[in-house]
Amino acid sequence: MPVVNIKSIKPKVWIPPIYGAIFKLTVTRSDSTVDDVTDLVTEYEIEDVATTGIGRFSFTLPNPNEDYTGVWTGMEIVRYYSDYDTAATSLRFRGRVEKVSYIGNQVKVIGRAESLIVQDITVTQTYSAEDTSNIVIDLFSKYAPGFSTAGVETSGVTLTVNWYQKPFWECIQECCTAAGFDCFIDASLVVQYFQDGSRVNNDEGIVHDHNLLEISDFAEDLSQIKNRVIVYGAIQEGIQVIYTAEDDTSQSDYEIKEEIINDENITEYTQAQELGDFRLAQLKDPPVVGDITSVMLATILPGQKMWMSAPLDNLPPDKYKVISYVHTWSQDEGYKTKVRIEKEPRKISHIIRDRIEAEGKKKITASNPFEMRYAYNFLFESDSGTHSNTAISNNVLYPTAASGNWTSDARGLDENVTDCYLIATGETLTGVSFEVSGDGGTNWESINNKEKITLSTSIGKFLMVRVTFSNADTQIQSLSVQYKTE
Amino acid sequence: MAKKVWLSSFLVMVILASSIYFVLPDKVRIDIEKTRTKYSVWINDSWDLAATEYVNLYDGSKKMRAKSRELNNWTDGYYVYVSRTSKWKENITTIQTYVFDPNTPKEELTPLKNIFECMNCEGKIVHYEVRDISYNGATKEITSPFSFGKQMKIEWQDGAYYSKVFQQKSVDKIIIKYRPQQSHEVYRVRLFDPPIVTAYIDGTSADADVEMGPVNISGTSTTGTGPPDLVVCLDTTHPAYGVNYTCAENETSFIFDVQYFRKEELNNTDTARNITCVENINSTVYLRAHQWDVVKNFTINLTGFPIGGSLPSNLDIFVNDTLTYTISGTLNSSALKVEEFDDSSTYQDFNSTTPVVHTAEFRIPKTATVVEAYVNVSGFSFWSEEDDTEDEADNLCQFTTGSCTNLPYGYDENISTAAEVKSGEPVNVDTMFIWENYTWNVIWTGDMTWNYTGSVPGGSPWQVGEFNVSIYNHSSSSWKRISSTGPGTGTQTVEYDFHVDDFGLNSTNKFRTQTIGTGVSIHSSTKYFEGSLSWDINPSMAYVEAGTPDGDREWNHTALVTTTTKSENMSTAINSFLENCTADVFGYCDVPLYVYSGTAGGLNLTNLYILYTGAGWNPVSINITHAQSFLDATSSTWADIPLKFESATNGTLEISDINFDYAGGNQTYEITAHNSDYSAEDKQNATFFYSRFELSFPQHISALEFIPRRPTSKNVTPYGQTATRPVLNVTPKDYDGPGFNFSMYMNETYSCVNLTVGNSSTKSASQLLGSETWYDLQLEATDPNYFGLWMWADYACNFTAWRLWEPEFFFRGCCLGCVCDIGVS
Repeated sequence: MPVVNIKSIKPKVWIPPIYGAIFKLTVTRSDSTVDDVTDLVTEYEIEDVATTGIGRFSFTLPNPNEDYTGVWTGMEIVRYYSDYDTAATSLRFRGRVEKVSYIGNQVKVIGRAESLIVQDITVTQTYSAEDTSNIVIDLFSKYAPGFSTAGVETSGVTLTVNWYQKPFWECIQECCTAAGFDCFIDASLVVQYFQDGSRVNNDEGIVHDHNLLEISDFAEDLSQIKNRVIVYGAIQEGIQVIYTAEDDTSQSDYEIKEEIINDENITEYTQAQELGDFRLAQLKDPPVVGDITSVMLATILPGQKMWMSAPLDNLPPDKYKVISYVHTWSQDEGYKTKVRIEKEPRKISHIIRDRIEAEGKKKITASNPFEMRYAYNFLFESDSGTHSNTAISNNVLYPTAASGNWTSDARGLDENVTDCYLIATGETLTGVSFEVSGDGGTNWESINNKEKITLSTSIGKFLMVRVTFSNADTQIQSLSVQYKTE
Repeated sequence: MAKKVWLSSFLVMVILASSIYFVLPDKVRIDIEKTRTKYSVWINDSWDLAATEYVNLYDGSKKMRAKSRELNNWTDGYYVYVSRTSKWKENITTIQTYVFDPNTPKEELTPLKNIFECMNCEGKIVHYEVRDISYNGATKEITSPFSFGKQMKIEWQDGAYYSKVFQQKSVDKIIIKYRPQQSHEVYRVRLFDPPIVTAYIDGTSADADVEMGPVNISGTSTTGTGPPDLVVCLDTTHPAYGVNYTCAENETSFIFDVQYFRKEELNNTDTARNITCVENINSTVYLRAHQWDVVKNFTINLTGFPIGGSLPSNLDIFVNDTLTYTISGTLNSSALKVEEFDDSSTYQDFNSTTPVVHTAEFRIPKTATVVEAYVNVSGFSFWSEEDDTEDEADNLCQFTTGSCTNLPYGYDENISTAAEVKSGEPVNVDTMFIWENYTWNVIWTGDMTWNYTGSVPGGSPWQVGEFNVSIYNHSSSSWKRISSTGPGTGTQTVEYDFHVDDFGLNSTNKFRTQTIGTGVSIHSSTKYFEGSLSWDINPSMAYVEAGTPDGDREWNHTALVTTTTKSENMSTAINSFLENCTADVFGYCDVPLYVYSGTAGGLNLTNLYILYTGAGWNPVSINITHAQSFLDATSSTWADIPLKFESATNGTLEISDINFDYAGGNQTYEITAHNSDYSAEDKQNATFFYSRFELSFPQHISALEFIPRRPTSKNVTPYGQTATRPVLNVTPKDYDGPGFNFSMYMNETYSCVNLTVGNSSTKSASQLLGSETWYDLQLEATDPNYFGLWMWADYACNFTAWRLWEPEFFFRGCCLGCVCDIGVS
């Protein structure tokens, strides 16, 4: 126990590295030839970001003798190394060449991080009360198995979703949002999924009066303020859920700034109220984000927190989360790193997770839940197929007697049909049964409405469907056989 | 031949030819001889004679001589007895008996008793004399007990007509005399070696000055140099510790951590004050404090007394015009009532169409003890009626848009299929239109009447065809019309009496109203189609539950509630709630009353009556931030903190039990070490000083940062420091003290960075900081002599990454000549 008048102060004793940051840039061709362009580039940019985007790069090097003309054609691997040392050996970024331009006597190479591979994949999956970390692992194992998931940390937050052809990275982002996590694929192709702000880089620092070059936009961004949030929910029997959350103080300070949320998943007033209040709390005060430019940093990675200090610019010494960063070098500007930081990280709420789950539920009725690749559709707008006590009239297929059947024409395929999923709409569907055949009607296999089957006895290249009526009241308004081929 | 008997492990009896002696090893030796008894104590590894006891008889002024004396010893199996029997002339016999307890090692109980019996002594004088004592005082009369040198003590029974201690050249002595009046007299006079207790402050048995904070206080009980073996307790006069704070055998100690001083009086030294409250007129009292005082806690007790039957009530308390506390209700310390709900109303109405738990609240001090608590509950027919006038504000639904306002209770869906009519556009509605304005879900019991009126104003610009209004019930997945008017014009009303039997008790039912018309044309956007609706039902299956919901209802009613009934006594539930509630800043809790009806209808709470005892609001906590703000703002050395009281009614307000806890200046606390009955005690004074100081950075500097150009830079100064501008300014704010030494401590060192700190810009005269050591940076600091601190860092690092070292600096003031704790946490 100390005396009563004791006071304490924790000074910050900054210790810079003995060496400045150094980098190495290589391009690995498809034949494994490695081009070290470190000393050749006249300018470069390496940008990386967690969760919200994808890293990218570009560099330019002289090509007066056309030594690099036609050398890189795309998908070559670009590696960026940097360290505070005499040699750069630590791999910090890895990407793929996407565009090679020849301008004057220079060649300019542009590309994105390795995670571009998952950018154009869509996901159709269902998860029920599954930990988001398991979802992330499962998604990568199914859709991008080339990446290791050793860097996925358990979130402890479960999510129930049904994704229907949703872009892969949007699924990952939803996991991140629900759990308050960040995600990126590192240069070693390991998926890093971790709690927002939990990873601290103690090897970096941006300190005023030392390596801080510029604070370009570290100020309150009034354009992002919203102080009146109006939530429109679902319209049910002509009635719509509406809730408005407002903050008088913010409106007085910044005038009225509205955000409108239309969300059909909201069916109850309390849901609208929770969401409106949550969004208002998020948006009513100016977000404090900004860009800080320093002498080049060597070790920063996406999503990390790092030490910074610029008290005269309202940035007291502390750890700040780096949203994104860009390393740049040019002969005019020298080596720089611009980081975008979040001074006060926004809190994640269960409300966002609830919305994701609600959004996911809506997709459960999507028309292609099993990721079939083709559809053989019948709207019965004109007569087709073969009738036996059936007819097509007024856009419906129906029996003309107490029983009957209709067989479609065969659709010729390039490859064998393997899986079928049948969807039928109409009236009194209890009085009808369905069969499909992949071998042109030689063999038939039963299939129920909204059921997916894998063909076993009728695999072939001629797809047909047969409808058998047992009730004179039955009418088929539309029929679709979705299918996959080998 | 000596006979040695171990009476116990710590008491030895040795029988010699002409004497018997007892020994408590290394403590006391008592030699009982035929004519005297010698008491020796163990000092410096040897027995030192402390007193010699003689008992004689005098006949007037003449000393009598005994004819014979003999010693005897025996035991009763528990105590050991030695008696000296003397025969005198005139058939006088005296028996002096010493009683020893072999089962106690305590020297103050050795001997346990010393009893002198005198037979046939009437007219003679019993002369009890103690010689060979060590006494430094003057000759004087004494009273029992009396202590003297070599830790000796004598005690004697009442009745002695003479008791005196003598300071003499040769040997000092004590004489006690009794004059026997009867043939058999018994006198108890005991000479023994008492314990010594000593109080220590930080290990020293003397008064001490201490820097406010912790200091070790200890007490011991000893017998000279011998091992201690007695109970010792420690008292302090600090309110946080008090009497007998700790007690133990032989020795005890505790950390006397003085975190505050306490002032218990107003500025005129009153410890209590009565002020006369006049309705809405404030009265102010003042408490004096020093401008440098740091307020730690501030409480008072308030009691209301009547003037002409009026008591203070709804009291607001201000510190320097800032409202700091509010007491709701009447300040009556003997019988307090709450008869209003939180919103100052005396009743609460709740109604609903579906089972909903409503909440009413009343406010009461958390410390209150509720004696009685009741509330009256009545049911009322829950009804709603919408008027059918054509003013926009009261309309249910606007015909042109279909939007509805002022909707009555109970329905949760609005269906309007008439919304297609456009504003301002003449429209001939030749075909039927349907306006379904309510769907009403309700659970009810008993009977209910539902009236529905639909109207379409006639006349220009309206053209009204015929229409009818209907009430539908939702049954078996479809709507069924249960009552309707025939086609007509103007205002039409349909009424339907609902009975339980119609739809089943407690069932959930849906109803809706519908107006169907033909041939209506509309020319104006300002006209409205209107409907009105009323119904009439009472609640049932209702309850009221006070405090934390536990299923134990204080009012319960299953049948239809049609009358007013009183709740059970809710005091138990409320007191239970108060035990666990979190009081607001004024010490009050909002107690909930949960009101529920299982069916549609209204419930009404009236006659709230909460009776509680004690001044439940006491102690009243004065917001210390308000008091501190006043002191921080004052320019006077001593300032009177104004406490202003404003009562809504007349009365007398007593302010008492003032506890203003603060740090500032100094306070002296008496430390007393004592044995169980305070027969031995020792007192020391500990005077605590608060050496307040403030640290501040230069303007525009908010942190202490060392930013080197290189990892090997030397003489790196903190950001913002110059030769003329220290990085830290120290402002002493001590008073009534000796001044203080200002020192600094760093909790750790770093392998490649050295830090140096001094009170001048000369580094060579400054202090290189080591780990976990206090360094004096400024001696004899005192208000108003502020000073600065300069710092330097010398780097010799070679990391291949950024590093940040964050040691912790501690600063303290230690009053001059004071004991100061060296702890930092």
